[in-house]
Amino acid sequence: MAAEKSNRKSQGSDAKAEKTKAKENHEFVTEAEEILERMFEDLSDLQEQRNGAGEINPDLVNQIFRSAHTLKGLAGMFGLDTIGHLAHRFEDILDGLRLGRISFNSPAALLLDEGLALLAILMTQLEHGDGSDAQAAQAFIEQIDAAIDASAPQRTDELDALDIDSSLLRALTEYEEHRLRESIHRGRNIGLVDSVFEISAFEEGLSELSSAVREVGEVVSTLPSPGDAPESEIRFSLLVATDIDAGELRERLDYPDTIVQSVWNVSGAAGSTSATVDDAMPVDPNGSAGEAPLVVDGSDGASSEESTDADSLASSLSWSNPGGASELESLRSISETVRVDIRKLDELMNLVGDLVIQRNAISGLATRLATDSQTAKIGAELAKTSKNLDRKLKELQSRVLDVRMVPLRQIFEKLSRVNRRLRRDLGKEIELEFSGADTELDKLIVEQLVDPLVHIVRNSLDHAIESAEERLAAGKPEAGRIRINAVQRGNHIVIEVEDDGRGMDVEAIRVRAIENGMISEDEALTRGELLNLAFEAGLSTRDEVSSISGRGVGMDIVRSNLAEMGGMVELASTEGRGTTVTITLPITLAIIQALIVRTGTERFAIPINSVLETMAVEPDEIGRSEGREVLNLRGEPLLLRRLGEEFEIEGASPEERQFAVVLGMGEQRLGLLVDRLEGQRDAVIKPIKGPIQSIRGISGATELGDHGAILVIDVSAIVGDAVRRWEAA
Amino acid sequence: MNESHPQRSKLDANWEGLARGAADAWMSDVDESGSEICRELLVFELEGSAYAIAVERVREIIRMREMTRLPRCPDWMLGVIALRGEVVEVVDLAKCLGLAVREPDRSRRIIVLHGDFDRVTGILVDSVSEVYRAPEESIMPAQSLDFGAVSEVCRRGEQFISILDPDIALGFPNV
Repeated sequence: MAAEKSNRKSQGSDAKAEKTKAKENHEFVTEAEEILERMFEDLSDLQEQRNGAGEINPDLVNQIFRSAHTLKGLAGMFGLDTIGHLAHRFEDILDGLRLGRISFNSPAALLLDEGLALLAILMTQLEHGDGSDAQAAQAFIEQIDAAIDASAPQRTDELDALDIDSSLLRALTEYEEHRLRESIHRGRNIGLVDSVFEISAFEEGLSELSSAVREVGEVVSTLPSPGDAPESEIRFSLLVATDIDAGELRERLDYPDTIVQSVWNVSGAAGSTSATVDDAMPVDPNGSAGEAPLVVDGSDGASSEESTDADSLASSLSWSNPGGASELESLRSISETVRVDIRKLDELMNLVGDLVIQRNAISGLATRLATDSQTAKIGAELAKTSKNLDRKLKELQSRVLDVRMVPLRQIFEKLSRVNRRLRRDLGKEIELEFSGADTELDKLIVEQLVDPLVHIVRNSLDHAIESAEERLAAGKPEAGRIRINAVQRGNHIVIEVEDDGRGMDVEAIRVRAIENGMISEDEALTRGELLNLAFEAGLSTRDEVSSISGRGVGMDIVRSNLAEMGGMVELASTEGRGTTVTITLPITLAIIQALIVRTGTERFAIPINSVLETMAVEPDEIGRSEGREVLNLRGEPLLLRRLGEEFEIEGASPEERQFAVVLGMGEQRLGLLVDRLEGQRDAVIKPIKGPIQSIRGISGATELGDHGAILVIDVSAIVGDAVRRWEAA
Repeated sequence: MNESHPQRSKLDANWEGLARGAADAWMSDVDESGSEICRELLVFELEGSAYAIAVERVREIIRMREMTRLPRCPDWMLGVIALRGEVVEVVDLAKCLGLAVREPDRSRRIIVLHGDFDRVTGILVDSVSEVYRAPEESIMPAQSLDFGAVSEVCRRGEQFISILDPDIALGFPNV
């Protein structure tokens, strides 16, 4: 409990436990801060809507409610009762607002802002380990309770204000009553339409009248009304909520034997206007025929009076300021970070990319100047300046990249929580070990990595790790173990998820794959190939389906999600010993190193991280196998594909010496033949804008210094297509 | 004068065949300040005829520049150009409209259009003439020739200017 924490300094008894607690608190604050920020934003939107003339969006209220709910759950998970209780009161208020039990101008609703500020303070205290002011929170909770109670009776008042027979109000169902209140809240005019029908034809007449009302508003209730009508006639009262004024309503409802009466209008002057439409009918008490039209004027009038009341009530209830300067402090961010929209960083990155391109142009100019004897001196100076510029640009580029980079720790913390939750549900004891939490990845990749990784870990928890009995019988430690290890290798990050569970039953996969018609019975597949079938859609080797994982969907989605980021996933497993899932990802998507190649007059860029090697190939080195061109690469046949044929390039010179760019995608290899290699460049991949949305084999374009655009090859498409064609042959 | 034009009634009869979008354009662009309601059109030449596009859709006009061919595309797609950090497809408008096509030469211009959803497209035209404020009553719905790319016709003295609906003109090849 937070209250116990406050006197920990004097105790100093269990330092280690305190440290874990502090770490947990930090974990909580990191997560809760985002929720709180969203609540702040949503609440200020709500404020705006409340002040404006428009209606309050129920979705917004629901959204804040959900945030409060999430916060409550989170606080519960970390054992932070004070915050949990406070969030719970938030739920109460928001639930009330949602169902119309509490008005938006009630003191309770106004306390939301203050409550949020208090939450922020409590979290600061948690983060700093100051011990939270449980007393202030408790006082505030009591205040909210009082305000909720105070808000409740207020709503009967608004119905009292209606100039309407109380017997009529009593006849309303709860829902009708709620709709009526809601309409008054929304500043609609409420009218009472009395009409007399012939008994023989009243159904038609009533439905005609009702639909006329629905064109301009809502029929809140239809009630047969008492009154001295002849036996052959029946009288109905329709309670109507509408945005138009009474005069207009009267015009709209120009039916015989019908009276339109205003019982409430937004300026609060109820019942002062009413008129008969048909003179044959009895006249209403005042008899002033529609002279004072109702005016719809937004939130003025009654509702603003209401809010003034609420304001004063809220301030009179105002809670004591917990802990001196903390109110000021709450205005500051708890952690010293700035949250920036990733798109802004993208823009920044693009700008840096553009600068790099300009630099290329300048250095080209310098070279030209340097080759001319007349300008050689200036050229040399320009070259020097351009080099300096180059150095600074590289620095800028890496700094901007740095900003996008976040440590994997964030994901690891999420995984810990998943584990804590699941091991309770599953009744399994599992240790989760992490290493390489400081490894950094592009924020965008991290965001997209969360789901696949959570899925993989869930899979291990649910399927791979055996029950305690099974483990003991197999001579393993009772507690299962999952190790997650991240390490950077060049421009890639490799993440391994390794469990010591039962391993994958390769034979079971084969059987299941044959059942599903994915492979034929006599197909000879290597162990690795069989394992990787687990990534195909519709293959789950567990017989039962659990709520946690295992419907045979998932691993295929994991693979396609990772492929979207240019990553891949591979499986290794030893039966009885465990399974290792290996994910390989590029560090960033923003700037790539590209190999520029030329065939004929056209140039293309190939992302260097897919290039395994390049080599010169003489025409007589190219052999043929099964109708395809192949190259003998250190004893292994390498499938070849000519870029000129792939993209129907004119002016390719296939008879001359070519260069083979060996591309690798997962386990697939392809040698792409090009006329020339033109070196390596930094490339910012940009989408192609225009009517043609996508071209197979092209993933985007990049700009070169000489104002031209150059297309970037989609390696996975080119390799995949070529290999598939080969296998099909 | 427009009222008496013999083509007017014929065009009216074809109202039903009007391309979508034309009606929207008809309703909007009302010049509230002046008494005469005008529409601003960018007029350009293509294969000897005058065409126009609503000025609001035009982002910029640039000279013909080096283009990178896009493989695996229909012949009306000329390729892409690099334009201040963006890579933009350029369409051969004459081919799109089914007109005879000459070899592109340097004197031609690219009109860069923008639309909804961050869409940007360049169209290649022979030359750009002017921005013309066309009185609303001189604009008539066009007969639904082609595929509705020419949604309206503007009469200017003895000259007729075909007003293009760029969404249809450029969207068509996509279908």
